[in-house]
Amino acid sequence: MEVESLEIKNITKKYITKSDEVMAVDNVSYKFLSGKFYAIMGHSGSGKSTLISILGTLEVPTSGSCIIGKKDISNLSDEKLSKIRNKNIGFIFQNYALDPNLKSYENVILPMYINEKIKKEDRKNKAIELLKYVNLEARIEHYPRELSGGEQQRVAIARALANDPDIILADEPTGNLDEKNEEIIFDILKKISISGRTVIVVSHNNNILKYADVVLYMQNGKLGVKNEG
Amino acid sequence: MKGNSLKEISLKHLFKKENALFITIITILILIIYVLLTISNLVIDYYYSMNRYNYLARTLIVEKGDKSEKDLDDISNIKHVVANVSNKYYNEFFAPILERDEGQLAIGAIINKKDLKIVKGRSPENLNEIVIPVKFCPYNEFDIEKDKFINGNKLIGSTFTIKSDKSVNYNLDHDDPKYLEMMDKRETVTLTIVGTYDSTANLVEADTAFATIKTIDNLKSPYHGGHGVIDSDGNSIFYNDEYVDRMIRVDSYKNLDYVKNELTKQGFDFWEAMSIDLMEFLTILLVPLVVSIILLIVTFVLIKNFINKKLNNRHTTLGLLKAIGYTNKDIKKLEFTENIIITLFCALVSFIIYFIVYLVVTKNFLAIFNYYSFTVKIPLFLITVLLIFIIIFIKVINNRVTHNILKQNVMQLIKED
Repeated sequence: MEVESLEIKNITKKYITKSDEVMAVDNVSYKFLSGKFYAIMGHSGSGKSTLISILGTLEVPTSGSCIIGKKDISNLSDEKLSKIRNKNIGFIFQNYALDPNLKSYENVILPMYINEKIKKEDRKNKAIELLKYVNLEARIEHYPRELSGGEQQRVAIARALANDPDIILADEPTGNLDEKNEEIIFDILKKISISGRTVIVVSHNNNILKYADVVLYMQNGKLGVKNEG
Repeated sequence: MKGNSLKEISLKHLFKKENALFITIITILILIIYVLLTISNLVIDYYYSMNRYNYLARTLIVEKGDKSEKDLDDISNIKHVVANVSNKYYNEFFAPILERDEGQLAIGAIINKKDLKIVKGRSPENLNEIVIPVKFCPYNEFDIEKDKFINGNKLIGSTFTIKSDKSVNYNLDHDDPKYLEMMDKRETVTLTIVGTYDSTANLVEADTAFATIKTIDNLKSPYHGGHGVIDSDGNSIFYNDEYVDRMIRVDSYKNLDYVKNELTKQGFDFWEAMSIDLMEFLTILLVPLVVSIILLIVTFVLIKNFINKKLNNRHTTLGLLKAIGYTNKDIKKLEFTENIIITLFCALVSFIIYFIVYLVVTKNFLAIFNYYSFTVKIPLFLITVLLIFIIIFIKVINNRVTHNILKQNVMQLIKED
């Protein structure tokens, strides 16, 4: 059953520079449902990354509200927003953003350190399970420098799933990958959405259209629906 | 739980190749600062201790001049004066110990019992009884070596034999046959060791024994050497110089000025038995202190640059931590923990090296301080203050740099490295 996991209402984000005022996101409203794979597409500078930052509580909108799990998070403190991010949202970045000094399973454990619900003795086992989920059981003890781009991104996906979040946000997750690895990554993200999570992916890559349930389009800060499955 | 987690993460980042140069340089700098602080502390401690504990620092030699014996005796009535004796007892009596092949014994007079802290046995009461230091070194200070110290407690009950100068007239020419005959016929005196005293409590040389005034009278010549003139025939004449001046002991260094003022009011000429020039000490102190401060500034600059570089190379990691739910406070704490562990590791390694050097140097090259019953101390207080300053500095710089980084857009931070 589809449940509303994330809603944005009249979100606006303005950046004021010395000479100008830039409207990165212009009065955007949308409801994201669980179990769906959303693609947000658009040209560079259309506001996609800003929107995903706001969805991920990494940026505070100039105006508007954001509701996660029926809770309005618009005016929460940094500490409370951090907790929400830790428990409800998993991030995947174009450059993988793995800690080079940590092994694969240690990178996956990173979000678990500040989740009191996961006991210390359970962390490693959970990390190994997640790495198996993304087909990396043979790379548990490897450092990022010993992995290919596709493998690193899969570790990043496992890390994003560390605290069982309801929402996965991915910003150009296949931007640095070849076609074969793109498909592997999109397959995994699709699998994650089918499991009941909300997956929102910002991408230039048209291959995503094969996987997305809903395709949204950003242009000049405004959000439009291209295709709603 | 969060604190332990942060430590776990910190430890994984710590001892990497890129930190090796920083660790080496900071370790060396801190080691040098430890050494300079030890020198500074030694200078301060020596000056303070000599003035506070050495009884000569509260001793005045009052010249008789044209004053009567009664005038000199009345000095005892001045408040804080605890002893008023002939200046015969100012200098120790030196003599070789006949049972030993080398070395010497110095014997001082006990004019105020509080001057000595008896450790074992008792204070001398009878003729030819002496007390010696617990750490006894019957050698000249220029012959001092670390293994020449003897446990004085083990010598209690034994005797030393020396020659007395009681019958010698120092005013005679030392080539005079009469003088030589006197020296040959000197009486042999057997001294009995009845106790030991703590020489570190009054900073007396380790070759110094103490005896009653009667024993000193039995040992020392009544004349302390004369001065010569040439008569009209061209002959040398020595004049007797009897001991006519007085040695005054004051109860405390704090009251020395009071007694000096009183003596001045009464028209006496006097001089201090021991005077340590404060300006000279400050000059000696200034050099290691100034160099320590300069090196500390250099250390701070290096630490600041290290933290700046480290954090600016970790934008992705810092942005990631923020994205996965670490608060700004957590991230600052994480970075602070890493930086503190590295710096305290440097401080610890420095201290271990310093301690080994301290043991070797004080035992082998600074035995002269042991001869003067003075201990070169490790300046734990100054070292603690130094480390506190460093920790505070790291906290301030860490917070400032991390704060500035985390003000930036998180997505931008993650993309930066």
